[in-house]
Amino acid sequence: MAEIRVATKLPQAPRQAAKVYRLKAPSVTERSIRELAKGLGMSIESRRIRLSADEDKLVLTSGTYELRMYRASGGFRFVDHSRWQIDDLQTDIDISDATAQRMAQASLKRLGLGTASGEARFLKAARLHMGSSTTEGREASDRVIDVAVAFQRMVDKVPVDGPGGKLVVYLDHLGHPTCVERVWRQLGSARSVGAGWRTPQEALQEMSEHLRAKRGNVVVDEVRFGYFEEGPRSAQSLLQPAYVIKGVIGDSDSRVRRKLIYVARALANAKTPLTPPLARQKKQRSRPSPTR
Amino acid sequence: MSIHVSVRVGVEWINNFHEGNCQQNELSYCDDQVEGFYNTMGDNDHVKVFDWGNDNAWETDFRHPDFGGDSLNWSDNVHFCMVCDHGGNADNIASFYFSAMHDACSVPTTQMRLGAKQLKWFATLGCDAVQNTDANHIAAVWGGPMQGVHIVCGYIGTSADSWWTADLGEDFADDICDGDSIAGAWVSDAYSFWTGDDSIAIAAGADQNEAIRRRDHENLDWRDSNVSQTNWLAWKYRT
Repeated sequence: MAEIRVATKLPQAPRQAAKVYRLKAPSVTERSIRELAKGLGMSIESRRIRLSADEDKLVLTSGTYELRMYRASGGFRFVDHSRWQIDDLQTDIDISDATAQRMAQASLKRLGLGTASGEARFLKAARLHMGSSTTEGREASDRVIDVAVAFQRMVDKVPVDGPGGKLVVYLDHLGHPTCVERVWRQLGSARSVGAGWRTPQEALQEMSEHLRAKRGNVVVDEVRFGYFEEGPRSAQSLLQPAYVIKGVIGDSDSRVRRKLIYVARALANAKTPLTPPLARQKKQRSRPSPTR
Repeated sequence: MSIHVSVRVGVEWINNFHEGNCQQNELSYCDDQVEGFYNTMGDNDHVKVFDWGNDNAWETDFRHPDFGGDSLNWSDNVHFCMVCDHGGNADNIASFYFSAMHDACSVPTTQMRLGAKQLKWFATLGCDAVQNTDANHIAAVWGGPMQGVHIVCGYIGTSADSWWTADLGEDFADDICDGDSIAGAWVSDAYSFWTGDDSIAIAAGADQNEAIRRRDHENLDWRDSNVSQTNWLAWKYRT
């Protein structure tokens, strides 16, 4: 069984009444993607437009623009392929996080994706760098060609954690958006849950049971509390509170280690784990002798 | 845009490490990540050549014959090879760790000659493809081992082993089979605001223009556009 060591102060279990939200089933149809495209200002000339679909998503393209909408979540990505991640070999963006945040908010407002006060908070600005050098490291260059500004969803003043619950806008050197991504499922009715909360210690115990068949050391360096929203390809019917446990597989001073992220239930009466149990070890066919 | 060539694919992964010489802390989702890639590539009519996991994954599959390895029959006998295991990096040498001693428990990049035969794209999902983004470091780690391979994809520092990133390989394969550029799709799919994973893709070229062109535009259709010499590297990363 994995040895788990906690190297951080654990948060308090919340004091307010636990609340769970039903999530509305997303409407991802030809009509809804066209309406979204129109709202985003995507030119919809029937001559140039192309709609394709697979089991995961609908994709609407028009010229260099592409709008991808995921069936499971209603999440989308709207990108201008002529500008997103495209390097003109000159751009070098040097703006602060605060400036990037302001530019991103203005862009989102223009696209009709602005959030009300208290609905979202600034999460991070991440920069796309382009570098080159000779294989000896000479003539090195490094430039920033876009800044991706991520906003994190808030519900009842509680952050929404996880791969979803985010609105990201990618800005070019002029501060214009080249891509927007959103995974932000629509809230339905809320219900209070009387049974209360699990403690962070119980969440760690859940992770320990999850890893019971694994050998090694895990050092927990952060435990966060929030609502948990999944990524764009996952179906999700409830928005419920969770503990997000982050740590390192291996010792903190080890050269060989990886990050670990585990999501544990925060509600005392939640029956199904948010992180599915580990699959059984697969049997493999025996490998033939080397050909050397 | 669709892809017009067929690509040979091989993957290796290790979740379970034993007590003994090759002992490491165990992982959980390496199989999901690389087999998602492998199967999605297969679903898009590319050729699934090998999928070796746990004790079937050997360091000799990556070590060049000049150093006693067998890479020309495995990692360098496919166009696209993806590996997920523990990685480490010290003194500008990246290493990949294996659970079975065959012949050793790890292989350093100094004993790899990526692209010597057929390999065009190499993705490593473990930690520390590079430790930082200093040009001298990136060039020192990968300038030598990139011997014909077009693009190497990996992480800056540590990467997450998590159920919540287990779909990475599938997503990446989906994107590149749609015609997206390989470096762009990797940096976009592997970067995560949530897990804190920072992604990097490094392209090779005989000169700066070629390396930049590959970094910015190369997709699977560039399979037969060989790198004649690796004199320059061009990379992109998000952090």
